[in-house]
Amino acid sequence: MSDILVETKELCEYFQVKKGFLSSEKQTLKAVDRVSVTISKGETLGLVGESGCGKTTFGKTILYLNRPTSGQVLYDGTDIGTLSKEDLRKLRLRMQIVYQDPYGSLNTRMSVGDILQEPMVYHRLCTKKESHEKVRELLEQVGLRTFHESRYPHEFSGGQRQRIAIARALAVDPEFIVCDEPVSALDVSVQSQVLNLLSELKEKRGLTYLFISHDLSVVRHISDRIGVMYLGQMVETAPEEELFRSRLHPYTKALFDAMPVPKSGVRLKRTTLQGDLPSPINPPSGCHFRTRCPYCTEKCSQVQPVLKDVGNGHFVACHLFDK
Amino acid sequence: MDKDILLNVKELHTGFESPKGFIPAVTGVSFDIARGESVALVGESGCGKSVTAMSVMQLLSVPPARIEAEEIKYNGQDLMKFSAGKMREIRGNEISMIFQEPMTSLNPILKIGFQIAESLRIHRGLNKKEAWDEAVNMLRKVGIPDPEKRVNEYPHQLSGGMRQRVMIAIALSCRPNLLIADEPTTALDVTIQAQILELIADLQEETGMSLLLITHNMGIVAQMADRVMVMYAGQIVESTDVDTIFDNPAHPYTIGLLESIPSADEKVKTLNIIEGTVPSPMFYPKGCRFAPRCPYADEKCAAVQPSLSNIGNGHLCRCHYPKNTKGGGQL
Repeated sequence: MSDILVETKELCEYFQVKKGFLSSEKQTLKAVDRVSVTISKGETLGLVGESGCGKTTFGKTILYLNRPTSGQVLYDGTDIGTLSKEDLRKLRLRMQIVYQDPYGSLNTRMSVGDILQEPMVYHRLCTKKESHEKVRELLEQVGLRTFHESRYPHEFSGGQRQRIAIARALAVDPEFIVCDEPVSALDVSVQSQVLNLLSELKEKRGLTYLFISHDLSVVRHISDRIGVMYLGQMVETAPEEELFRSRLHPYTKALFDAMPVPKSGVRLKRTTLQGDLPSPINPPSGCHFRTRCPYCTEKCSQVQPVLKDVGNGHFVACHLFDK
Repeated sequence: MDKDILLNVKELHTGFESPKGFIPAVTGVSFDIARGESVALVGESGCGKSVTAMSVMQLLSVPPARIEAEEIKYNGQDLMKFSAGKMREIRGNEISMIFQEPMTSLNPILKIGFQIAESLRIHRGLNKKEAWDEAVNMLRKVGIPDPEKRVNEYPHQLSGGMRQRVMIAIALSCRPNLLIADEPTTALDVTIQAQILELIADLQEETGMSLLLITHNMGIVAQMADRVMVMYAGQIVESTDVDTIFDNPAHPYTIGLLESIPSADEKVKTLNIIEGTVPSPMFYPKGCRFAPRCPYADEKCAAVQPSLSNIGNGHLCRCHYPKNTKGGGQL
């Protein structure tokens, strides 16, 4: 597992937002704030968190679809930030993304065949004729039929469209795919089909995933390791089994408790977590979670906790675990 | 036994006229809700859950909608025979509804206090001052901090969870006997979802109102419902109490649906799946509507539509071969 494919070092992505509708004053929104993670070859890192916690921004920044404000992304040992435009373009052959909304991410005016050919043609991977052959292959791999090639996106259901989006990501034979909430827009019975497809493809092609979702049970199903984000920061990372055995950070605990479990005999639990997510523009000082945390102490408002190793590959950013 | 039934729907058929032809969204749905009971209506998108609720409330515009029912009895009165004016008195007063998207259901240019007070003035005949004070009260009741200040704010100043609290305040302001909640937490984050569900359960306990909860999330069903109705392709396919649905589901669709949810308790390598997709309402199969996706379907299933029948202890199932019964050998 020492083969690290992607590594981020203190990755930050800040956005400047206007203070008011007519104001010219700018404020800084820290969407991703000093996040350092590693993803090994063949591993699936699951990323969970509530909306606005920076999951998606992190996924985009790791691919340099957004330029990070500071920090580094190392892909296979090379710092992406130092690459020329042309080299970055070539690197994109190895990393792809699947978006959440299969209705918005496919061009409605292109046939499925054209959608799948475009990346190959753009990267000059093969001739037109060969690409035809490849498109058919891809369609079969994602569980669609070859005659679907000439159809248009509107003729497909949500699950089928997500299969097309996955096929498009696979068109350039990448090794790393960022899956940004790929099943959130789908119905349960279709969701399981797409999840199985992703697992199957990973095994067949030896893919590495960064899997972003707000659904803990989905993330658990697909991930080897899980990271929990809160207001732009990583608060806990651990191998999947370890995290489900012992959750340390109060936010992770609250998140797990809040998740409704589909089985008999579970009536409504009392929730520990009160209040809303604070705005990422002016996050609380010290630990960002302290305003909602039942264990908050004075230290939490003054010192920002950093990720600490607590053994078993388990990292947590919380003062409760200071020694 | 029948005397505490609050809402009774019999043979509801709702469809829509469209340029492509008639779309049957809900076909032959019958159910009842007792006083104080929580009933969940679950199913995937497009199965007719919301249309069922909208038909009961008569919130669909006719045409293009066409609503037919043997009866929709609320508290002994047949709502189908009500005039539009009389129906308006029922809505809000007796039956209230909250919707999925709290942003689009609130008026963006009116203060939230006004929006709560409005229904109080119309339905309970309070004057402006009384209604405003009651609005502040309602906000406090649904757990909005600083209600005296918040009552003067506009919807865009509130977060999603707060907006849904305002919607609940409006819905409950006239103390309805039945609350229809259509995916009340789908647009919200899990930690906020837990707060809202808790709020609804608390208020239900306090007021003794009945709840019809529409959702696609089986986890929410487990937490909130006394009884569950599973809908598929415009029909109720299974209906029973909440424990039985999870421990002893009988319809292949319910079984498949439960098995296809990734579990947070244990990890499996591959998830069970239901093959194929939901059929379009324009092309429902002749026999059982689930037959094309059902692993146990035979010729009988393709030819004859099963009826919703009692397989014991009030457990209703629309299947020729329900699980755990005599003759259900296939499952």
